[in-house]
Amino acid sequence: MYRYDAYDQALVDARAAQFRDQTRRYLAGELTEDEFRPLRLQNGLYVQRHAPMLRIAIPYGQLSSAQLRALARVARVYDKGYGHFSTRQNLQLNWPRIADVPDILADLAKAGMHAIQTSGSCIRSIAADHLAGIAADEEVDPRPFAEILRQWSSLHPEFSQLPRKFKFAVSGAKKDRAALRVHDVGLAFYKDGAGEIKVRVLAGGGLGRTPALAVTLHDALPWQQLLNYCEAILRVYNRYGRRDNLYKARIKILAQSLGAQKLREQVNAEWAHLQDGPSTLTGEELARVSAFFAPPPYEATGEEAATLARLQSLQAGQPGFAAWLQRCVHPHKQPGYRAVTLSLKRAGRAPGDVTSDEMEAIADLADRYSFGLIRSTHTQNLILGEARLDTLFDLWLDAHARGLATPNTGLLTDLICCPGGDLCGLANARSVPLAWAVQERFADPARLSDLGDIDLNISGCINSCSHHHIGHIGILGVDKEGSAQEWYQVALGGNQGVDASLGEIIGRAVPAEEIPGILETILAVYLDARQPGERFIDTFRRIGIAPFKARIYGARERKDQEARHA
Amino acid sequence: MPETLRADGRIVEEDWILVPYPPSNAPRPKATGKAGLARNTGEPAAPAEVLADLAVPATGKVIVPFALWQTRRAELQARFDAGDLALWLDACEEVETLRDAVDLAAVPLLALDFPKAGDGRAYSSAALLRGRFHYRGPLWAIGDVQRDYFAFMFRCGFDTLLPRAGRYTRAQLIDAVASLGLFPHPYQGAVDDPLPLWRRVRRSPEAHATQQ
Repeated sequence: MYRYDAYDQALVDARAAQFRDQTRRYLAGELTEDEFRPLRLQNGLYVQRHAPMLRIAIPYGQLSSAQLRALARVARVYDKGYGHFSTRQNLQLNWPRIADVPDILADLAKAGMHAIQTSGSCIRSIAADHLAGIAADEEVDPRPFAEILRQWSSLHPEFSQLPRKFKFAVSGAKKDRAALRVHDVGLAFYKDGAGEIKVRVLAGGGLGRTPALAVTLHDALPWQQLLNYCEAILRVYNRYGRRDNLYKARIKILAQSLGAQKLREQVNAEWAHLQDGPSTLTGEELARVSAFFAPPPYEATGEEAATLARLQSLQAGQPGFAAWLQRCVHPHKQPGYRAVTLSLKRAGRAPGDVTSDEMEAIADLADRYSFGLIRSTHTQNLILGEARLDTLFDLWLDAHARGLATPNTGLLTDLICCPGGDLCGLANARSVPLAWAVQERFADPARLSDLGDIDLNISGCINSCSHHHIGHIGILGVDKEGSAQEWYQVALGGNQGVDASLGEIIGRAVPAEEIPGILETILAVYLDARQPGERFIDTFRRIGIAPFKARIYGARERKDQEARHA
Repeated sequence: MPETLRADGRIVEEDWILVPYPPSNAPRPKATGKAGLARNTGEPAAPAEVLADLAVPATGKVIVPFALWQTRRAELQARFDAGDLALWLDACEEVETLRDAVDLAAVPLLALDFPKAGDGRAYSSAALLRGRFHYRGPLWAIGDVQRDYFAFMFRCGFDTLLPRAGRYTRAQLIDAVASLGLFPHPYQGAVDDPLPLWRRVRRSPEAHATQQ
């Protein structure tokens, strides 16, 4: 993975010192609240319901065991001994003190980490395919490009005060695991017929109040032009993105008002000036950065078939292991190796939450089984990306002993959930208790497994931190003025990936306690209609929303009528 | 006479007088919703009646709104020709319009307004004026010019910064000057140095600052 050189180190050290001075001036009354806000936000610091929240960058989801230990320590010393992995692959601390944040940033800098641009109206920390560099279906490792973009976007003077936040995602695989089409810019790296790296540039996607799928700006951008092209997009956005209304300030609104063709023309016109300029990437620079992402020293592992047969024999006495192999172990580029999900979706725990002790345990697992490398996913889990196939049973035993082997990756209980109203100042609803209720109701492994792959996303408000628009089942906390209850709206048919789609709302919002029952009904409609081999989303796409609506609201209306007649 | 900060760290008393719009024309927050940061790009900077009524000091060197220059050019041309009239652009005005309307080589000074520190359009305007339109004269940042953004402004081609009157004490300005050198090796190119870090220095993969 990437390691800082003296220039990177000096920059994060200076940034920590700069924020120390800004915090001092704020606490001394020299900076007003309004002046301090954007400064703290661009250092990841929010002021939340109960306490500040600090969002620490995990660029493109890559972490070393040493960094995870540093995060564990920071969470223990300055917070309550736990952290929350977010859908941006970052780590959030929910209880730091403002006065401590400069010390936290200085400690992070020592471990080669920062919180630069994890919030605020700027280019945010870059998200990536969580299997980048190791996925079996990958053509181009996007991590070197993500690092190049991280550096280019960090403290970019011209794009430091954009109309609104700006999020990049990158992927180099056939399957899109990075939700490219719901990002402000999604970059799909691939190799053309001649073996040259090209970039499909998507822009104008986003979730929130006005969900939108990105449009294609360039289908085959030569990688050398990556920074020039991104600069062109950002300059057009910085100049013409709306600034009169924060709700209409994202690039998706500009894309919608101009139309894809016009936006493409404007970006291309700007790019024409920048093309082949000084930021044009060279083979030498790409090679320099790529060297950091060279594969770890894989060992010869013998025939996979023999190892698989041995693992098979171990499964017999260990049903938990069998389920885990099926759900949590993923194909790898390198024969004899696998990527392994450590589930952070445990019953009774907030999705994505990890204690400092657990972070240290995971760091130990990474050292033992994965060359000290860890990945965070936008589904709020962690991945050991470099596990030897023949160590999987030992790995499972160790992970299981630490409660990190819940075999639910991709299943209903692997739900994505924001911190919600317990912590977040924006939320309308508490989301986490609802997640627990769902996890409790659908705890039976056999039933879960039968239901198969389902993405359930629960957001506590329209800002859609949990990406509810692209959940197969998306649940959104809504504000009902004057109601003491929490209300939720349900949408179906969202999907991430190459064939991304936005969910359709099934009907009016309902109180929180009705949600588990509605989920039961939705799943019953699916099971009744399912054809062999169909996932939930496949069935939904075949039968449409009507049968779901009819069963849910039809039944409710009958009940209402009966109640009136009784 | 206003005091400005120059790119070389000097604090300078200027003989230019800035002619702003009357306060009533300042961008207003909207009544509802989170918003109302500023006018959108392409919207008029000021209504015609404001431009018609705007008083310009009769003598001295003045920096007037570009929109005023466009509407009252006949009245101001002689002072422009004498080098005593400079122009400032609102964030919602496009530098292309300015370039088409004025000989940039003949303008004694240009200023770009930051209606709020969070409105970053003037950074792009400055970058275009310097990089694409080859404007070489003085370029001022005016409006909500806050010390925590001074370095960004200089990087984008501003050479003179005019914070709001009374915003900073001289001691605070001197302190701000001291912090200008915090980031001597920025990653990306900009107007001050168009080369990205990896073209400016040799970044050896062997020499790591930290071992993780």
